[in-house]
Amino acid sequence: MKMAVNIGGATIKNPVMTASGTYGYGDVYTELCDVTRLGAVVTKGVTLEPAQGNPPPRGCETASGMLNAIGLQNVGVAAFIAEKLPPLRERGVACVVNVQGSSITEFVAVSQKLTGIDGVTALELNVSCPNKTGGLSFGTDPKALNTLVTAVRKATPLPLMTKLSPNVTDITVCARAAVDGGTDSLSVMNTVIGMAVNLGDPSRGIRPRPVLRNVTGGLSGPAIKPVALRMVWQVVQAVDVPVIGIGGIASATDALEFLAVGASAVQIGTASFYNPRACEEVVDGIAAYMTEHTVADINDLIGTFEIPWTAT
Amino acid sequence: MIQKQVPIVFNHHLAGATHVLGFDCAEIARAAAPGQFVMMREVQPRGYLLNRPFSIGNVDGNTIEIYYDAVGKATHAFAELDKGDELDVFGPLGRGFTLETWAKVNVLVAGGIGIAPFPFLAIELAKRRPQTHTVVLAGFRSAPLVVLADLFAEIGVGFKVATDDGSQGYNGFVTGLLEQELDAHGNNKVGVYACGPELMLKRVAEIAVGRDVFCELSLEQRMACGVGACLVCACNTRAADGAADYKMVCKDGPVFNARDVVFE
Repeated sequence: MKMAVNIGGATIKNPVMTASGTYGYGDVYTELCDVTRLGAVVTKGVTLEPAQGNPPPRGCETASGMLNAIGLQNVGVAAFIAEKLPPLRERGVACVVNVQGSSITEFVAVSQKLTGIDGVTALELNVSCPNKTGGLSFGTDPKALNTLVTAVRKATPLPLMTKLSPNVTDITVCARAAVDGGTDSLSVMNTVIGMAVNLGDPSRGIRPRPVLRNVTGGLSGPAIKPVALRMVWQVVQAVDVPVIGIGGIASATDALEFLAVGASAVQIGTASFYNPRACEEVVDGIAAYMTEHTVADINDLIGTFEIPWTAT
Repeated sequence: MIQKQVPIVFNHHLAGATHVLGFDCAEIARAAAPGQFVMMREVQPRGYLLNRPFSIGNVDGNTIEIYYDAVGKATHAFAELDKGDELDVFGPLGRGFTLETWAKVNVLVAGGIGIAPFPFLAIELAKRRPQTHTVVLAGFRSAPLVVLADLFAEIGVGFKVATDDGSQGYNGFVTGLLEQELDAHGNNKVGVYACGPELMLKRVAEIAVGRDVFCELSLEQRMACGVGACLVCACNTRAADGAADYKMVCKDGPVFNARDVVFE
């Protein structure tokens, strides 16, 4: 059975990755999950300097999902290379580094520092974080996005993924802008901007207020899966680079739906929080599905989706 | 740390919204320390998604006891579970209380369901430091909400109640009772452990730090993962150089030295 897929120049042994910001640097679930079984670990967003992130409260549960406004708390690229990457490299885990910056200069600088470092499989450009100044503006402005991707493309030969924002009217416009800039693949999608309200207690004079200190946050989890599936399907039809599906994937069935509409791989995020073995279970579930349906190569499942009726 | 589906062995209502639930898990029972917590959810959650964090209230053989208030979707669902039902649990998690201190008197300060980690702490203090004296100061809104008096009597530690409405014990907040207790002992012989609402913890920290008393606080914050992956449960602490430093309640805590916590 062949489960390996090629993601814009990066070959990974199966199509299941962790989603950035949900798995630390591959170091948090080692007691509960065998990280070496995953296609790749995508790291927490890494910036040039260490970052503290947003003040609490930073998260809350919502219907079939959660909101977060972490704000890219991370150790910085130097500490990442010195401390976080070696354990993954030693265990042979493919590592996609999620790169974040508040300017093109910072994106380029972080990408250059990661270039030539053994154990870095690819870079994922986080142009769509809704909780960080600068991050989202690249992801929602096709021109700025194109300029950013073009600059990073010139700065590194590493395979480049660009993680797109769903918080736009037409995601295919941003997808094309990133592809024109030279990205090798696209990850679709980041979280959906949302908010939650605490009604307070009028009898004690406590007025309604936001649950999150940041007021808005990124919505993730099963609640956003239909939106993600739709956006992956749209992007797959619009561009010719591999697409990685992200958004509410919690089971092998969910992952297979994304592969069917054309994703070459998937990333699993929020599900790991309540089931630390979610990624492994999805790997096993896809393998079981392939056995049951006598599929020899995972690539034969990708993009097999068809609409069996004509438009009315 | 292990993840497992475990059987519930009892689940009782105590008073007000407070319940006690016991589940069997030898691995967690062996590894648990006072102040640590577990993440729990139903095997098939009804109307919620994420695990919820709960202090390990006590360990009796292979049984882990959890004290909880049924106040939200998940905890209301837990309250409906019976003996034999299963929970999805992982733990033990986090950094617990420091048991080895110079204190001769251990003062455990609880606000409401903040009493949850203290049976385990009181028992372990009695075991490991038999020459010390332990007293639990417990604040509740009103007398009908008072829980665990019998248990602490059985453990053999002091138990003093404060009620907001004066219907039992000290009339006022438990922090008033703490000041009385500290006045009665030499400060340098007392160690304070506190768990409860943030405003209570803030006042406990002011009192203890102001008197230069060893004090640890068990903090509460919304969590998604419990292991340091999601970074949701940040709390504001002070680094060694005095700079602001976000720590994770799940991984760096939930227990912190009162001197290190920055309250707004």
